[in-house]
Amino acid sequence: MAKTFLDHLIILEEITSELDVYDLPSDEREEIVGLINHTTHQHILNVILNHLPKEHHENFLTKYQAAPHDPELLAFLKKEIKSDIESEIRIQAKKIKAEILSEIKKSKR
Amino acid sequence: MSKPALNSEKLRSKLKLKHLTTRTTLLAHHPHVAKFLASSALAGTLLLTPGQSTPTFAALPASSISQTSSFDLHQHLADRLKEILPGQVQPLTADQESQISQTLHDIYGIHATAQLEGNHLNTSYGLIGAEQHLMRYPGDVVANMAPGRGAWGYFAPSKEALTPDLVEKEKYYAVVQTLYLPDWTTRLSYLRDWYKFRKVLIVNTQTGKAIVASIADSGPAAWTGKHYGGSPEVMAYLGLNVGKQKGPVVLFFVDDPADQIPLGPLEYNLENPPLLTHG
Repeated sequence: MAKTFLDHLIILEEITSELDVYDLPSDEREEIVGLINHTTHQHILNVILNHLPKEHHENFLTKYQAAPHDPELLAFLKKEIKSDIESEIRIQAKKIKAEILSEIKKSKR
Repeated sequence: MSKPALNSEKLRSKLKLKHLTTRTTLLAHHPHVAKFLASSALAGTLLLTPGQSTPTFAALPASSISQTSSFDLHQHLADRLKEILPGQVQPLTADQESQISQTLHDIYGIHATAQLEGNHLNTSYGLIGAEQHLMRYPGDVVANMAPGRGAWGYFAPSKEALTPDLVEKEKYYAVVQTLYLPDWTTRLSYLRDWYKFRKVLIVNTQTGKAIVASIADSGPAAWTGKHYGGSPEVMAYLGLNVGKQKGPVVLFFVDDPADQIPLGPLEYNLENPPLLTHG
């Protein structure tokens, strides 16, 4: 998955570290990490769009489409969203990561 | 020392469901995101798009991919319900309810039951009637709106506080007869909270069409002969917004403690979704 400007706020290492605890073939691990990445980023995009005024959605999505890793995207969000979107992203990321970690633990044989 | 084993099949299945529900929620709240799916950059970072075949999803077992159309699902459910349900709407037996729960899970991959956490409506098979839109916040004005607020008041204290989630809750809302529950008055504070925005699955027993809705009002009055109500969108999807605007439905609680199942029409098996690599 391509790098995005959100990666440093989401930080999936604690999940990949948890996966490393288990005996998991590399292809299955890659598949599971891919699912987790996509799910987490989708969830966070929903959070961002819920907070970003609708008139900026098109602009944001166009910029994101062009350069998903561009740190200016976060600056853009901070400028256009009144609440502390960086904190909100961290909180929501933590929440969904906790859910995913719980699923991993429940899948232990 | 060897590492502990993981049931990767179970985990993958859970993650697939979470991925699908997250995407469904995103597109339900922000349908304009869909047009960006064609972009390889955005698709690669966030969403799997039509035609995109990543190693991740290419590895899904063929058995996890459903080829069944929503029409087939509806028809299958309607046929099965005919075998289980009595000729007229009436309270069901525990065995009938259990059979229906199993059928709903088999066909739609959803956990829905007539009794949840000890709570049970007076009937799980009854007539649903059309309701108007509810006022979401003070000063809210839309066409076909009920004059008063719902039983739980406004959805939000102001227009600014109305979130997309609350918009969905009003759009797909259901009405149930909490006021006639035998323990409603004695356990009011508990039951009021328990029923507020409780997710229910409503199935048109004649067509098999099913929709997930959120309880947002109490009623209808017993003298109407109806047992439930549905928002204009709920009734339209169920095909019950014509003629007398009422019809027989099964209404079960959705067991969704993590709030993963989106409100709205149910058109695929949640545990066996159609072609995950396609949008």
